[in-house]
Amino acid sequence: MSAAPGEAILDCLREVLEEAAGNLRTIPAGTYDGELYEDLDDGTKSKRALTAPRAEATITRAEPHPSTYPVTGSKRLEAIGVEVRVVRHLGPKEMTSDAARSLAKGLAYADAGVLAEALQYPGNLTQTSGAVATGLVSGMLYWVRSDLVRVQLGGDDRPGLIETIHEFRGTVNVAQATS
Amino acid sequence: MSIEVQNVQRLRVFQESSANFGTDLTGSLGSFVDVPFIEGSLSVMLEQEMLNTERVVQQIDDLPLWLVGRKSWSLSFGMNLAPTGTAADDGVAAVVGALGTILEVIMGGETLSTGAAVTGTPSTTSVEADASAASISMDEGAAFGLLLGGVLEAREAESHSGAVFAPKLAFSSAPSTSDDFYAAANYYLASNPTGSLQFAVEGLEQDDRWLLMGGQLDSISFAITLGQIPRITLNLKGATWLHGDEASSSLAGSALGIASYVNDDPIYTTGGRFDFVDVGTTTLPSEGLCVNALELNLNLSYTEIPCASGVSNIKRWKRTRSTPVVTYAFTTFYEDHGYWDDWDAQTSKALFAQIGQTAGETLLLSVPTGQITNIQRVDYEGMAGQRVEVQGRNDDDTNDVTTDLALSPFRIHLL
Repeated sequence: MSAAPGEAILDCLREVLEEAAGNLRTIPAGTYDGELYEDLDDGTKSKRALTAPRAEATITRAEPHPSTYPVTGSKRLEAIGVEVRVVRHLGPKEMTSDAARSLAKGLAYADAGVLAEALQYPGNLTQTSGAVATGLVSGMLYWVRSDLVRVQLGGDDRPGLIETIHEFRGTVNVAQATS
Repeated sequence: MSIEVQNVQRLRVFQESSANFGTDLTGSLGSFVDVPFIEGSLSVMLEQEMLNTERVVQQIDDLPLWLVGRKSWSLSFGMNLAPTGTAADDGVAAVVGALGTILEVIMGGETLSTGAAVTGTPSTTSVEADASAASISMDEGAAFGLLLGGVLEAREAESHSGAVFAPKLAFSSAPSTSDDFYAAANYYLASNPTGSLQFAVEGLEQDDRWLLMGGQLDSISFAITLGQIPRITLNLKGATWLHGDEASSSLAGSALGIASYVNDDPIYTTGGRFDFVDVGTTTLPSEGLCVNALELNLNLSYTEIPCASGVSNIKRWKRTRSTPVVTYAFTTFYEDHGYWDDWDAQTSKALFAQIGQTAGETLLLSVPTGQITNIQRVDYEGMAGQRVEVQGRNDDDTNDVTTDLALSPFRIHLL
């Protein structure tokens, strides 16, 4: 039974987000770090984002692509949705300084462009550093939209953070067994 | 006998020469090519003329038996306009999949070039291949590509002197000696195509199998939109058909085989670049044409050559004059009235639409010579825009004025 290379897609995304992988419009290493697993509490998110903004990609949707082949064919096309979550730290400075707060929110907005450029450049997501193919058509994703989820200024017992979600879509070309 | 799902089907295609128009070629069923059509898009009509003998009857409600006359069929399906996935680099010939098999017949012309390596002293407007022009099929109108800065740039040949290729548009930079000189599968309009297509249409039910013979194009449409997979929709017509168990190699009575889609590698309409330039200009514009879609219309027309001894009274299909054979339109920003000046001055314009930028995963569509027929101010995604309409004609920019490839008003290149 053949399966879409989900792990390769996510590994490749992590390499582009965190390790400057790609051909062009790469994200400098250190711009984002990982360790942003789901259900992390806000305190840990905020602390981890102190050293560098944190990013995590997830495949959130898969369905037959409108241009897919008959099911008896040697391959299929899947339309996928990918979500990249980014968390940035907010500290006491952002509570008291308008300029600092503008800078922080501006950087959160800029994340949309940084991610869009890197993930939308053809070939950046063709394969992992270990040469495992992702199957993504044209080796890229398409940026759909970005949303500001919340701005939480830190205070007494409340960790400060900005959280954004960036939605992408892509197509995966999956080989199917023929015998 | 069983009740089966409609959308699980298989379609295979084979080329017929004029000598075997409309004849059962299932003896070569193993050479039929699986067509990677878009699921749910396949539609088949199997016709038989019904002829009223008009014989008199004696009861008010009676009717004479009608004769079953000649057969015909129509077939329509969508498929991705996809490159082959094979990079034709040094010594590698361009390959053919189902798309190429169909394009060769409906457009009439195919040239499969072979890749080479760059030699000599290359520049942006002159690139020498390290093989003879004949051996790699370096013909005027054919396309070749270079990887420059990691991006494949595809160009049609305006001319060549021996194996020195002069592109219609300059490359962005000069290649280095020993760089790969990528070849293409080139499809172009021929003035008198004589081939036809045969299809095996197979449903999941083992009796739902049909052989369609003597086929040619009825109409074709293109869907080319940024961010989507480029697609064509084909409507074909044909001379005759058989039920699968009437074919010389029966199609019926066995489980539906698994289709193997080869030389088919879909891409997005992204990367690459579109250029809309004056014919004869080799200077590469500083930036490509910004459009979100290309409305491309190919107005090919085929009619029957009637013949009593032909298949369903058809000797074969004959391409007729249907001008303008190609038209296109695009909407872009309004930044100045340059195109309006071109319209007034009847300036000949060339369109080169490169989709993709990876060797083996690139399309180049060209209308090498056209004339603007209309421009209007329009809303372009909320910005001031202009919609430009163009009709194409024979290529004015190749030195060769004798071959269909060099003259073709429209070409599709798969690199």
